[in-house]
Amino acid sequence: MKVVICEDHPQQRKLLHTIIKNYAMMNHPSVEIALVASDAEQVLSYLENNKADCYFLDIELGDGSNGIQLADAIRKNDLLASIIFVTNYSEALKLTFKYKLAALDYIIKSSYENFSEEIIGAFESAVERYEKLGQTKTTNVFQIKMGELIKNVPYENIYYFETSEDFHKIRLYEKNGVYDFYGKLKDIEEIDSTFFRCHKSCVINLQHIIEINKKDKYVKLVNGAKCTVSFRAMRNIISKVNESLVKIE
Amino acid sequence: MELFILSIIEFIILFWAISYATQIKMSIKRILAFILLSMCPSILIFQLIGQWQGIVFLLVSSFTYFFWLSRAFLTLIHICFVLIIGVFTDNLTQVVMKAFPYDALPGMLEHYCIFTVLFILCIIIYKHSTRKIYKLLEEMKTAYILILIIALVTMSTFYINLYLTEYLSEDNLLKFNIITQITYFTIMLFVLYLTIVNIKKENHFRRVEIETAQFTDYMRSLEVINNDMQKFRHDHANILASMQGYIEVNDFEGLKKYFKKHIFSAEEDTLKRNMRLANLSKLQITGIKGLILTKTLQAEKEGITVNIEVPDVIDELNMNIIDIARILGIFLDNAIEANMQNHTDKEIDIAIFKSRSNSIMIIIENTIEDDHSVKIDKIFNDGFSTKGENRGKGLSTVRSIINTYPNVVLRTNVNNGVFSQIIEMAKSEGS
Repeated sequence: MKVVICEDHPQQRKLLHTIIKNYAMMNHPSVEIALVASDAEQVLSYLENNKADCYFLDIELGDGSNGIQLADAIRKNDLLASIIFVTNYSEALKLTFKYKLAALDYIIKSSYENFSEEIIGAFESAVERYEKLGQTKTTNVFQIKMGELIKNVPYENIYYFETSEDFHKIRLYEKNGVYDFYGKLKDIEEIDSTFFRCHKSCVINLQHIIEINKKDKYVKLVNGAKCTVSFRAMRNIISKVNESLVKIE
Repeated sequence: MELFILSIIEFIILFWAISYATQIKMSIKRILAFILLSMCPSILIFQLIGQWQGIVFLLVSSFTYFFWLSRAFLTLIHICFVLIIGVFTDNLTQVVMKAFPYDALPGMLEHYCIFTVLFILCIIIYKHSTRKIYKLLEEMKTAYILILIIALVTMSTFYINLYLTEYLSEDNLLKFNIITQITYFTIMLFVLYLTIVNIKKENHFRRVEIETAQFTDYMRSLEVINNDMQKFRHDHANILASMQGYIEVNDFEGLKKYFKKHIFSAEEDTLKRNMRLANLSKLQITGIKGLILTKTLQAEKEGITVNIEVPDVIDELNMNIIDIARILGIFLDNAIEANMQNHTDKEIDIAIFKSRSNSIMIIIENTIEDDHSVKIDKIFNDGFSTKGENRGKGLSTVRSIINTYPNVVLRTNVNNGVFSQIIEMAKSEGS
């Protein structure tokens, strides 16, 4: 994993460098600190021929340039790198970091007592993320892009998908949220065998069915939601669920 | 003689229908006045001069009489409808008589019996089904006038068709029919045009009203901030004077303490307020700016920390300002309400920026005590709420607004004690 540090203040740059270097040497020897820069220019020229996996960026870089623009430039070519901002309190743009720049974390300089701990914590999660990316590709998650932030929703958390009235909008209901996105239900039923098209406007997760009502033609899901089932789907659905766990009426 | 009695019966029914529909209190004096002024002359005209002249007199005199009694527009509308229903029931009676060809009573009498029953029934139905509509229109004078025009024109056409046509030859009848039909159609089109113009005007007024309200809110928040600044400036002079005191006696330890205690804290407060304005400076939509500022001040009164981030210039939203203001108002109210139940972290974060694909993101996050306190997949259902009626109601409104925009999507999410509402507005209509 390659790390880039960009900080204009010499002392803080040194501090940041030392903390990461010492910690990595002890715990993650494969980590390489590829660049320690004092301004955005250096990072940009480095990026012309190289790529890093983790960036620690100061927001206020002096001489007009700023870490947010730098992060934006990095993101243009690299959606996966971990970006960690180091900033003064007054400039913490929490939501912008999270959704616009998909930053992994941000660290506030004024909290000097915890500074090195926070740096190490953020660094640790960057390493973890890097290792995860290397392993199996994200298989059993459904991805939703919110701004630049990619939200991974595990299949087992999903209750159902539903088309909203019009406009090719699909609404996903899961344990922790409700999300609109653009797409077609047809593509969704093909992602995994656990998803089942029970009606022309609804795809349900078979794992979450607790009740099938043949008379009134609906299924009830674990969260209490009821979805209409078409005549044709009703015949298939019963063969697909575990009958000992589902109440069939 | 028979005709005379039947006319009397018809008058009585008509009189009852009008007084029932208009709900004018009827005393014997008033009834007698009506008979003398309207009924007797019209029967005389009917018998001596001609059928339709009698009817015209009856119409005009009863309109005048009842309007004079009630002095309300609505009375005229009611009379028109009563007369329209009269024509309608008369036709209906003939249909019914054809359908049941049993001669239980002699022709004319049977006709009148069926007519009376049907007419009374229709009037009662009319009264009950329109009561709510008229109540709704209470304040709208233009609507009354439009309805009156429609009712008058329809009624006149009906009666002209019924009585005047008897005097015309077949050839003339055709011409006459064409003329009445075209006239009727033209008048109705005109009424429709008036209605549309009126609706447009009212919508415009409503819009201006909301915008003005938002602008006023914005001005008020500016005033609050301005007052704070004034106060600070006043304090400033005092602070400088006391610092001078410390410096003169070379008490640097004391100066240090004083600086930390008074200047730092005061400065921080003002800086925070100025920051908020500075943060919002890139949001160039006054209505939304005012709304956010007002809600921010409201939240801070409740001890909630509010962070606002607008890193990009936002001068245009691909949504109706009123719609987006309603949505943000609901979200911010919910965020404030949710935070009031919290005991420790009270925080609301608001961000508006452009994403890489140039859509506009509006994000509102607030802390919640416990992830399970929000039933995320149910909050948008009509009337559902974790606490209080208003929350659920508001969110179903949000849903129905967003459903009308093909270019807007909403994501709602609970994660580690943070509740997020994320609106994404694509630049163009359609995905």
